[in-house]
Amino acid sequence: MRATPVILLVLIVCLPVALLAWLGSRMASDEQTVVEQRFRSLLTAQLRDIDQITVAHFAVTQRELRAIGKLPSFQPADIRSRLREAPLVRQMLVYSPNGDVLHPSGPLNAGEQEFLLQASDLVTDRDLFYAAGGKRRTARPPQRSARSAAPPAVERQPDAPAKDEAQEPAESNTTPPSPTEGWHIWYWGRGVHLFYWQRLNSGHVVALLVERSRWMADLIATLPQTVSAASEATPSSSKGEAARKAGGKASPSVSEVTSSRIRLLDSVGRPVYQWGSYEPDEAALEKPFAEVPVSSPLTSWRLQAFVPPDLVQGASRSARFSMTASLAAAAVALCLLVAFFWREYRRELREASQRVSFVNQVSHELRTPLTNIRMYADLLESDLDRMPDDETTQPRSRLKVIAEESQRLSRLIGNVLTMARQQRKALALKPQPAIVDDVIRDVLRQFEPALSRCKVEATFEAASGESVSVDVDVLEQILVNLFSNVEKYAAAGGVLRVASSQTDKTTTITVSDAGPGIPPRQCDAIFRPFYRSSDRLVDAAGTGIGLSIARELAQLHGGDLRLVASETGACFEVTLKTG
Amino acid sequence: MRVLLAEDDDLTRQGLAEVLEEEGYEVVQAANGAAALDCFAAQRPDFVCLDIMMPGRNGYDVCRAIRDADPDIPIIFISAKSEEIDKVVGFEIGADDFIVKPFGVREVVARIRAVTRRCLAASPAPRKGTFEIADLTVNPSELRATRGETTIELSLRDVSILNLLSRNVGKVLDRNTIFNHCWGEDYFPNSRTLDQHISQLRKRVELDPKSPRIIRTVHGAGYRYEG
Repeated sequence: MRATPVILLVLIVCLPVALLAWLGSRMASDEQTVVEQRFRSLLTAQLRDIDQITVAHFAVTQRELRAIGKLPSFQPADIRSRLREAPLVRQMLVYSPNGDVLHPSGPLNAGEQEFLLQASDLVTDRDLFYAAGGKRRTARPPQRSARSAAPPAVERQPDAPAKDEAQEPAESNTTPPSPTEGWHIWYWGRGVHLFYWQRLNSGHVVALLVERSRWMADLIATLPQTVSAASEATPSSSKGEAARKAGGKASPSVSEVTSSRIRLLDSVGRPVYQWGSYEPDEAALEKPFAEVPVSSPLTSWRLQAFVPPDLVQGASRSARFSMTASLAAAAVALCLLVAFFWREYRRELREASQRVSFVNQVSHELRTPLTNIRMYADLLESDLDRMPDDETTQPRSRLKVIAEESQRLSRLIGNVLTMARQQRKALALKPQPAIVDDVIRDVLRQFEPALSRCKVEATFEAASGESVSVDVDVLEQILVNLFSNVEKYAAAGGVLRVASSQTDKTTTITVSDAGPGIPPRQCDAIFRPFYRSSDRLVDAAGTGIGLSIARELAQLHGGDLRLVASETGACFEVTLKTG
Repeated sequence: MRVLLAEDDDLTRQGLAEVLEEEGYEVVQAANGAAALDCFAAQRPDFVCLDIMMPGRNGYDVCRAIRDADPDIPIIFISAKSEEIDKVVGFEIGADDFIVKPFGVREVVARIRAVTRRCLAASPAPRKGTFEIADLTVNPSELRATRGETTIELSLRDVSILNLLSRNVGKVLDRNTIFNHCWGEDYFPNSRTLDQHISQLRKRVELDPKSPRIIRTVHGAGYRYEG
């Protein structure tokens, strides 16, 4: 088997498969990133939804507190009475319009005394008053609680982002009026405490300390709970479904990633509340997959989402599997296609080989009887040589026909075999030192009887008398085909002119006749295998392979066979590389 | 000189045998490879002509077996297989020449004479020395005679006849003597065989075959070289 087709086929298969593999690897890597990004977006959206739950919860709380803060009077008895009726509020702080603390003041109960001890900065330093927009007597920077490790003390409603005069006095002329209510974060003891304040029309500022355990319990009650495994295993919330949605283009809902873990962390990072069935690896300090800050008033708090690593990997694995399967299918299809073409190619080769083998076999089988015809004709001729000439004239002429026809048959078989070898690409050159003119003379001598019978006069202008490297068999076959054409097609012209010339590297032989010539439109076609200028029964017989073979042989010899312009008849020029 | 001719086609074998015998060789015929090896062992020929495609053992096998037995014996393949690889294989296993069918008798004769010359050149036989007859100088080991610048190709039998005549100057050599000496004692020629051969030989060696100077006819007796 020849190596070139095999290498080509291997390249045809391997290159696209390697390209597909490379593309697949790139796409798998991209797909992993895309899946992670989708998961992150999904979880971030889920966390924002949860954050909106806290926002809604504090809006409701704010409405309740607003109602509580609308006091009928600032008398301690009324205030204490209101506090007793409102368990949501732990303590109340009332400033006069000029910042004096109206409550708690005077005779204090135990709770008020404790509150004053804890909130001296709010009471004594009037931090909350100033934070609520109270006018300073003397400008001074806002202070924070000594225990405050947090973010800005004053929180504003998202829909009322008015500037704090005390914090940014330079913008007082351009900013809208100060808010009349808001949240104040106060850090003390176990963590964050919330004050809801409102400035009344009278200029008094009423601040309500929300009972920490109460607001935290209410907040947690609004957040989702960890669902059981049974309820989790719904078609829309299963890992596979979430993975499918994350891997696909659809947008999953909040409830879909139930196998995650959501944590609400306070300002120092302690989990306040968490839900979801997944248990993050605490020992490995697993990082959250998504994180968002909580909206006002708990802006120092964060919401974190954890998901099992295999959920993300499973999703990307699933996507990778789909992609790999597609690529594998494409590769298999390509291999099958190539295998199909390879099989067809091999079949063609086999059939061609069988045809060539058949032609070879038939040609060989023809050679044996032809050998006998030629040999016995020669033997008969020898016998006739021993007889008186007057008795052998007629047998000799008949014997001559036998000899010539057997030679013609030999040439035809030679051409068929050469054609078969040509199709197998098995033609090979065997150059040897020889004189081209001698070879031409030998071939002309072979044709003498036939040419003489056709009344064709052969002339030879010999000018290639130097010994050169030439394949004599090839040269003979070229000449035999050209002379045979003159005998068959141009005998009417009565002339066969042969001329040779030589340079250092090239030998040129021209064979011309005075026959009907070759029409210009057939100048190329005559060199095609099996082409015959006419198939009419009255025309000369022939196989149509002679010129094709002659040209192929000339080209094999580093030269060419061309039809050159001539005034009459046809003129063929053979060039051979003989140097 | 004895030739083993192995060829499965009867007509080809008989025709070739006739050509070789005409040239002066003693031909041993075999119709297949096994018979060829038997004949080789029994007859010990001087050279071998082998067909390649033969029933039983093919020509390549026979060639290898003969080469094992005698590395120097000339072997000529005569075959319809004309591919280059066929010839390469033939030469690689020890053939001295390769004749492709269909061939002309003259081609076969020329090639066999060439091989014979190589055999004779390598052989220490007494016929190696040249001899002169009339104005001809005959070189038996080259199967050639020269007259001045002219070279005349001869067969083994031609050389044998000329040699016999040159050694019997002035004597009349009758037909039986010539046949026994040049054809062999086992040969039974027809009455015209010798005359036809002498006629052909005269055409080649005589300056004027119609009035010969080398081989003169003695009517009713035989032939004579008068010196």
